[in-house]
Amino acid sequence: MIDLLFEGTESLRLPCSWLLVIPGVAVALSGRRRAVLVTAVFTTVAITVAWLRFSGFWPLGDFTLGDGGTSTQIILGVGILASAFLAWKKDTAATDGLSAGVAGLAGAWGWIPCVGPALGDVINGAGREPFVHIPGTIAFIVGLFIPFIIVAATDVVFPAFKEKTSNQVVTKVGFVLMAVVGILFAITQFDDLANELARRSTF
Amino acid sequence: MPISAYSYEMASRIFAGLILIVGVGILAVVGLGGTGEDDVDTVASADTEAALQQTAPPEDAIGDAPTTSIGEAGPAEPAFPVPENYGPRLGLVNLDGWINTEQQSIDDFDGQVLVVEMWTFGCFNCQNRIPHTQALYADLADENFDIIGVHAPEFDFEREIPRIEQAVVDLGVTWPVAIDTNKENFRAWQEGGRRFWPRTYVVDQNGDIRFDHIGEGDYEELEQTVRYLLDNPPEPTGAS
Repeated sequence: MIDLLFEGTESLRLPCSWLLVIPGVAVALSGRRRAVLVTAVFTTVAITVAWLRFSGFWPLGDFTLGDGGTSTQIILGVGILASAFLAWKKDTAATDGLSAGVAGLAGAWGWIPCVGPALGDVINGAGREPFVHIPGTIAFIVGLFIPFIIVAATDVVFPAFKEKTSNQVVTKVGFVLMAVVGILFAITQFDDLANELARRSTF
Repeated sequence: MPISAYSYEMASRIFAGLILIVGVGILAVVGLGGTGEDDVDTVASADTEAALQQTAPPEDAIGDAPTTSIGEAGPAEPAFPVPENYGPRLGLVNLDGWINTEQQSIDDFDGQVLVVEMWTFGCFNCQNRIPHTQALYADLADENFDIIGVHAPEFDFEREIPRIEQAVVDLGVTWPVAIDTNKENFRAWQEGGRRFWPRTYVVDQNGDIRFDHIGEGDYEELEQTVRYLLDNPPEPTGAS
């Protein structure tokens, strides 16, 4: 299990993970006031979608492969924008949680994981024994989201850290990033962002 | 503050503190390269080489099909279990060309044990498989064996054929590569919504899939499957 945790964290630096990590950064910044809540919601949704995809239960295909239809992407993009707008206007746990959930759903759907040896075991096994590989999926995603989890844990341990970093500027940056993610989704160009980042970091 | 609320807050802080320590520890280990990921290629290659040497039959045995005839001692009971049969392979259609081969169709490889690997050059895990695949290709060069890399791009920049050709050279891919720009074959071979890079199949002499693995790893099992099929070819079915 520990190898999955490490492999998840290792894959943070790989372009294939950024389709999931970029919405995560947007959520972490825009929901800075409730880091524990938004991190928990985003992580839980991402784990659920990832497990459904690994197990073959996911009904929408892979949108980066042209599956699922553009209409679903547009709906998700509008959903990201609408839920972020709600969270911006109404500063409540419910709106922040909703925004994190929609972003997690979109990000996890767009994500095509880098399949290293440990995650490979999970994905290969999940096709045959889906429920056995839930813990493995959790370990990998938790490893991938370690930075967000650290920030959330720091808020709990050192409340002064939260006071100093939960300011309007940080939240605004988060909402702008969330709006960019939502717009790119709505115009079905989100994978182009990852494409460009990947191109710059590869050959 | 009531004692219960205070206790709850303290418990939360202690729990969060533990998460913090573990989280920072993981980040530090990964950041310092302490997981040994950078050494994976070298170490795993060495492991594969060792495995190849251990499992390789003697020189004079290569090419001898383990056919059994009356009066002769049959081949030793294979220690490796009979690879599962996942059914007939699909074709490779509507390709944008081939690299490293004169062949123009997967059918031209019929009758061989064939490794088919879905990959794309920008994929980190696909790159990590290459030394292992190269070792297998070199070691079984004289056998009834071949490899086809089906290049299916993940990102747009991996669609450009000159880039693919350059990457094939840079990465040391010497086996035939089928260019599947539209991912038609990548999708068709991986039905059921579980589509990942890299994915490795072994196709037997009858055209049936006998090994299916997603991601890195399982190099030894891949090697053993190939060797098993070379040593124990299935009864010809007359169709492939």
